[in-house]
Amino acid sequence: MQTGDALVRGVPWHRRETAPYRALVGAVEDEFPCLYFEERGDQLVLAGEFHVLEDGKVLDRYEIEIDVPRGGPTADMPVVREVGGRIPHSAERHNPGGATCLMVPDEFWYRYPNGMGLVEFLRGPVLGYFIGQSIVERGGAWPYGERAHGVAGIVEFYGALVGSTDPGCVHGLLVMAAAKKVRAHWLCPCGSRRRVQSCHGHRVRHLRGRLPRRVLRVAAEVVRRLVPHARQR
Amino acid sequence: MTDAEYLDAVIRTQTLATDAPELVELREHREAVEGLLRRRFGSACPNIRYGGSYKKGTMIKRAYDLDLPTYFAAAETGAGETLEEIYHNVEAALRDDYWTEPKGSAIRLRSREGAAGTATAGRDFHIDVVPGRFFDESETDTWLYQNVPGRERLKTNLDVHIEHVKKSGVRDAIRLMKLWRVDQYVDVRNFVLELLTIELLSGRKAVALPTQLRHILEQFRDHVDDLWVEDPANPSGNDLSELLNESVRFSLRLNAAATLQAVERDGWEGVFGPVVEQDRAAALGRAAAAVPVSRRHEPWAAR
Repeated sequence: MQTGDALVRGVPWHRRETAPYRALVGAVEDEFPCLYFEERGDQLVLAGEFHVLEDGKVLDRYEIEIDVPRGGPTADMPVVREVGGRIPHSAERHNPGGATCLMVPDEFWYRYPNGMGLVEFLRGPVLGYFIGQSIVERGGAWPYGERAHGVAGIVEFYGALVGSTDPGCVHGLLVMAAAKKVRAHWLCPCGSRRRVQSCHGHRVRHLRGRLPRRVLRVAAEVVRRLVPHARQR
Repeated sequence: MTDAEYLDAVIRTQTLATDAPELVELREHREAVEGLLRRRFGSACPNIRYGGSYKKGTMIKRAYDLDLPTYFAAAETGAGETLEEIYHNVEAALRDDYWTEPKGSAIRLRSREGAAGTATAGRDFHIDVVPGRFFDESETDTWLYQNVPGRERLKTNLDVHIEHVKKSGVRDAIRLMKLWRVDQYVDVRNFVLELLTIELLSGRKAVALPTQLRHILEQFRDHVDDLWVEDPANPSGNDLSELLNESVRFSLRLNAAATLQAVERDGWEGVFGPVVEQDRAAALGRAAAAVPVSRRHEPWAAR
């Protein structure tokens, strides 16, 4: 779900901001010497061998590619692909286009509202994901748990934030959170028959404070597919 | 364990992690060298980068060196007018803190042991400082000094070399061939071995690693006299024939034949030796636990 990146048109970041780009290349390639940048058309890709490390030892290696967002490394969640054939290609394990499912994209924006530098992204979510992959390959469970795939995973994520597992309630609260203004007379979608301001209003305010409206709008639209007869606002 | 799994284990145990003590020390020395040269040359201070196998992603623990290309701007004469002057002035600057050993185009760094005037070479830091000057303002091609009569200067391009190896798609084979070279005392330069490996595996990148290695060794054993290499950074300008002379070819042929016999007899373990690995499952568990809670995520997957 590309959001901020979709807003950037024209010249990609690495051609507009050449000095920061060169600094990024130096920082990434110095810490991860088996990775390299290359341009594929307008798309800047970070490719090569990623190491799972522990106590100065390489525990595992993965061939990966990472699409650096057009708007810059912090403009959106980078798309990561494992290209060495280690992860069987399936709808359950991959997003369309073969991207690995590091996390629900909305969680990326919730946890990192200002985006995330590429080095930090490699040290954090990417490393954690491939540690998990190595453990799973040996018959273990994902070390930090996992979310249901697809829309159900998005409902899970927002459900934990709004305190409801009901897709209808989650959808309704997302619609409110994504609105330009939360109207005082709106009834809470949880079914309490109370006004949202005195029911789940604080949850809605929390979402509005943490996530961009565009992310919430898209999430609402996606969750709506699980909710028959859901109204669009 | 299959051959491919065994070779993967060899590579993993030979790969230096970024936080490995050896690399931490190398990076510390890089900073020290930069500080030293900045103090000596001030505003003429060169551009100091990482090069060699570190940047190419082919460094092996058994024999690692860090190249520090140290290039002055094209018009900069603060460190010397000629390449030879630059080389010797950089070496003189490094002697403030290090024991230096001239090596072709590079300057090897060791610790200094003993008092001034009676100092001797101490510990090898595995660092080669390579002084040079950029060809022009684009700061891509460079001139290097060579202590070779009649061929005192060499034009090359660090980024071309790095890209040629990094993007070759056969880095694993290169690493293992470097290990083979060290373990079997093969008389060939790493640079040449890299180029040969890449050349011999063109069209074979998708082939399994054991088969790749076998192919390279068979070519060395049976067709070494037909092999040749060129510098990807300066194919017409830099003659590498001396680096692949008769003596080198003989060493490649002899050692390849012996290695292939060892593989037939004892498998690849007969070449690279036993791999002693820690309990990977336990290590992965520790690695997972070491990820800060704030950086843990639940992947979006169904199982």
